[in-house]
Amino acid sequence: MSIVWALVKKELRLVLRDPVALILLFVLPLLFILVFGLFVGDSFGQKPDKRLRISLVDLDHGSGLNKGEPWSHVVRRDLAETANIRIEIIDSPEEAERLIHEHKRAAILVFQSHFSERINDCSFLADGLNPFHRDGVYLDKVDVQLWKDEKQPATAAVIEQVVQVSLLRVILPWMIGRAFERLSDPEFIQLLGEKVNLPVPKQFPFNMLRKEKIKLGELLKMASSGNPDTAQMYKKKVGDGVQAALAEQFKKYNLRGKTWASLTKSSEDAREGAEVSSYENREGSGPLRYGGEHYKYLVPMFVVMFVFFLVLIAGWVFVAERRQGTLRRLQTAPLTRGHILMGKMVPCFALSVGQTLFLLIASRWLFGVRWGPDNWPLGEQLAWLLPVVLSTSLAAMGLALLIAAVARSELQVAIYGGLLVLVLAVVGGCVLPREMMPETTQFITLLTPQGWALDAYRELLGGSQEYQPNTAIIVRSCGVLAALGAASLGLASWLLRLD
Amino acid sequence: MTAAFLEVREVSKHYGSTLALDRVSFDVQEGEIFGLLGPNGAGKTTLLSIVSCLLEPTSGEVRLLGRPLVLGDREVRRLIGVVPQELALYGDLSARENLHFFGELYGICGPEFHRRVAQILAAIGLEDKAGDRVRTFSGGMKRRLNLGIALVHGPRLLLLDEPTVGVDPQSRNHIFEEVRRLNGEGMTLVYTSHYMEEVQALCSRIGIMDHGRIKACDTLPRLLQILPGALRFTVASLTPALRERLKNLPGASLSEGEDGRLELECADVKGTLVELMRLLQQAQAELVSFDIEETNLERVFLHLTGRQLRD
Repeated sequence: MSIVWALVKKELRLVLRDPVALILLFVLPLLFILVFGLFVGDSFGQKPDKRLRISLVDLDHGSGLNKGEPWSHVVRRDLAETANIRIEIIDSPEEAERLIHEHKRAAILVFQSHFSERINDCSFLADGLNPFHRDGVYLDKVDVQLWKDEKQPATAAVIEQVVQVSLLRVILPWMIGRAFERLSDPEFIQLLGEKVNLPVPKQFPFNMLRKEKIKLGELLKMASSGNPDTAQMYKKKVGDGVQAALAEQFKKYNLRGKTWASLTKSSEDAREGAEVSSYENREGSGPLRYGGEHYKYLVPMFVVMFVFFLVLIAGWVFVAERRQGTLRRLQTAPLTRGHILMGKMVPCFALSVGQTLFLLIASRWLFGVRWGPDNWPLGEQLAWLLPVVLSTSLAAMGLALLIAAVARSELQVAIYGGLLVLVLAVVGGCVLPREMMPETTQFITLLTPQGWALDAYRELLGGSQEYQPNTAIIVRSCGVLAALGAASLGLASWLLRLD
Repeated sequence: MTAAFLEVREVSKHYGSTLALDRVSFDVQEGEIFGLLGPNGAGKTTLLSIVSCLLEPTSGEVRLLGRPLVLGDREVRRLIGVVPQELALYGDLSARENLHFFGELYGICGPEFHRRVAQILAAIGLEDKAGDRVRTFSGGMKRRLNLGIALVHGPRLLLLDEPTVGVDPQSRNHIFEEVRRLNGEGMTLVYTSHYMEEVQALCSRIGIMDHGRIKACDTLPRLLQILPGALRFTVASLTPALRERLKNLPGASLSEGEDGRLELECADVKGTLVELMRLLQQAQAELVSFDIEETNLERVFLHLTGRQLRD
């Protein structure tokens, strides 16, 4: 035991005194997480949502079509039911302003407080508000603003068009419906009575009036024999008749409906999957973007990727021992092959575990990465995390020893080890998250130890505060990694030549 | 008759079709410095690898203190210290850490071990540099440490494989002194080199190796007797009586060149020289020119192998 301890102590001393090894083991991974953490978006690692995002601020508290419901809600509903569009509600104009200023959103729709009031005023009547112009709706007339990021004019233009169409779909049916209602209004019939001037048929007894033409209003008056109530009733009948005739004439439409769906009788076709979500800050805070959502992906990816860089370190340690002649000297000492192998494997394993723990602690401290759900005490989080760390290091050590068994020089270690580690990292999902790969190729990640390690780490590090990790996945991954590690260690011990 | 400290019997080693050692046999007595002299590729390192239990011979046997050496015999390794030809040191450890590490591999620890490490550092002249990283050392200092490491576990047999390759004269002298000191303390040493002067200066018995074979193995004086020396001279007037007396000199044979130059070939150069001087004085012959050719190891090596040592 003291012999193995002497070998372990010596190996750790040598590695810890080698600045290149220290940089590779501890500094580089942290630097990668930091640099990527600063530059990738908050949606990194998630399946890209190809729907157009319409962000809006709703300051409208008026009342519209349905009592108590502001017109802005009708527009929001209309937008949400539009295919390939998702709505994001931003709580405050200040937040919206910041997002535009930081170029995080191309355009943000702002319903000001008088939006409902202005829509209520919209009418085809002379005293009504006409919101239309050649290309759509005057936003300012209806108290709506569209804040745009000047650096993203194309996306902003698309959003504006979508908003315009939606506003038209809301305002136009409202105005048509209201206009149609006016057809039964006595005032309108009065007006109609004044405007409709008909020729008097010769056989009519009132030809004695010696008029060639008579107004519709006079006819109705005559028919009511001067009784105002009867006259009013006749006028209503005419109004209803006109409405009924128009309805019959344009029966594909409900001219009384004040919404687009009702007007076009297409309410049953409302789109499914309408999504309205509130804006939440997923970017993290502070210069390091502490707590950012993207770290849930970046930290496991780079932790796993760099744990397997142990392949290079262990390979170099073995090759250097051969090259500098010390392996020969070790063999002249009363050591067994087992002593020499253990003297290499134990420090490599210890370094790997130390490296992982360092990265996990640093990530928790610097980037706010959780080690498990918040309702798990730290002890429970560690109880699940440590087996993942140990089994991943075991798998990495097995691979490292395999490379050390076949490589005869530092160059060979760099070529075989470097290539293997990089290819496995790419295939295993350490460069491109599995979620971003095509579904048909995602299974390939599980052909690599990195893929299994990522599965386990993501369960623990990649969830939200409330997310309950699937412990079956963790147990399965640890088992696979341990088996891979043991198998490759066995193979490497058999292949390794100590001469 | 007591058995030799180290016995090498009919040892051969094949690497595929290449014969590296061909039925090598010799003995080393306890307390002796045995030299193996031979050019690069003669098989010296292979032989030392077998003696230090790193290689198994294809045939033959090696015994240390009567015990056969076999691969994996951990106990016998404790008796042997090896100074490899290549520097086998950890550059990022200090001299003291290197010594401690290799000592710990033999299970040595405690205050006595620390004292021993300090003694070795003093003996190899690295006391002042004990805490410095080895990578900062000169070639000579590294060579000295390379020797020190082989001593850290107190071996009874020390195998030195070309221990002075590429060192400065000061370090070479240091190594020589240390070798003599160790031998003076009773340690048995096997010293391989292709530097004749080193072997001549240090070793009591020498084995001459070439192409995997021991060509000769004996003490230096007896090896030198393999080849005669020569005295070459001319005299002003060579009388027939003087010629006759020169021809009759014991242990010498006279030959005469066309230019009148005479050559006396002899095994005992010094004795013959004394006799020659006496004869010339008696004959009152004037010595015009004189040249002496003594036998040395290089001439013996050339004679035995047909090539120069550094070919």
